Amino acid sequence: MTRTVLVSILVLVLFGFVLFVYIAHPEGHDSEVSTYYVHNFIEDTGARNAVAAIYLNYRMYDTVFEALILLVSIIAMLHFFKVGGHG
Amino acid sequence: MKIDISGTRSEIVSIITGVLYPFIVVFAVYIILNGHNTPGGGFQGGAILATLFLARFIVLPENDLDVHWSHNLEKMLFAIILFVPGVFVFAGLQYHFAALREPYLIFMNIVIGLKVAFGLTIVVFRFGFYEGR
Repeated sequence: MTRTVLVSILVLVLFGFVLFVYIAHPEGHDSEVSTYYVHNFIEDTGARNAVAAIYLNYRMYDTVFEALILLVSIIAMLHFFKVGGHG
Repeated sequence: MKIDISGTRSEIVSIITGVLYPFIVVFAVYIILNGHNTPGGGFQGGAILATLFLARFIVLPENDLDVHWSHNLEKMLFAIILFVPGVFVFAGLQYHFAALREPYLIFMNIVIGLKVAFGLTIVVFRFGFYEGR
């Protein structure tokens, strides 16, 4: 019981700390890049959907690692399941 | 241990899901092929394509998916996802062949859609047959 209360207080304090850090230091938003993307994505990539232009051309690294995350999670799932896994 | 869920099969659900099959496929293919022009793309279309196998799991719970085969296929698709943008985007081929930009987007959406569909199908079958309670 005491342990649960202590863990709850610790989690709340950590939550408040993270929230404080997030509010005290707002991320600077670089409007130049987004303005460039919005105005030039059709000529640059040939896509008419700006989201597709960004995730398949401007920020391809992001997509590659996003696909890798799915692959790695499936490898982990097949590895750690006891029944019917790869062993 | 394998969970026996064949006794809970409903004829109404089976027939309705059978009617829905082609619409799911058409909708997924539409989302993937038009991902560069309209909202959508490979990830979303792949998830819809995986619901096809989820619907099939509800109707016909048979564990006849070869996990190794689809897993290897997914790895090969990921190799394509690494290789094609590596040549076309990172190496700068897109600045010399402007006409290939749109086919590149369509091709990448198809590959990503297939990869996501296979991956989510493995997840659905795994959890459905071995981790279901």
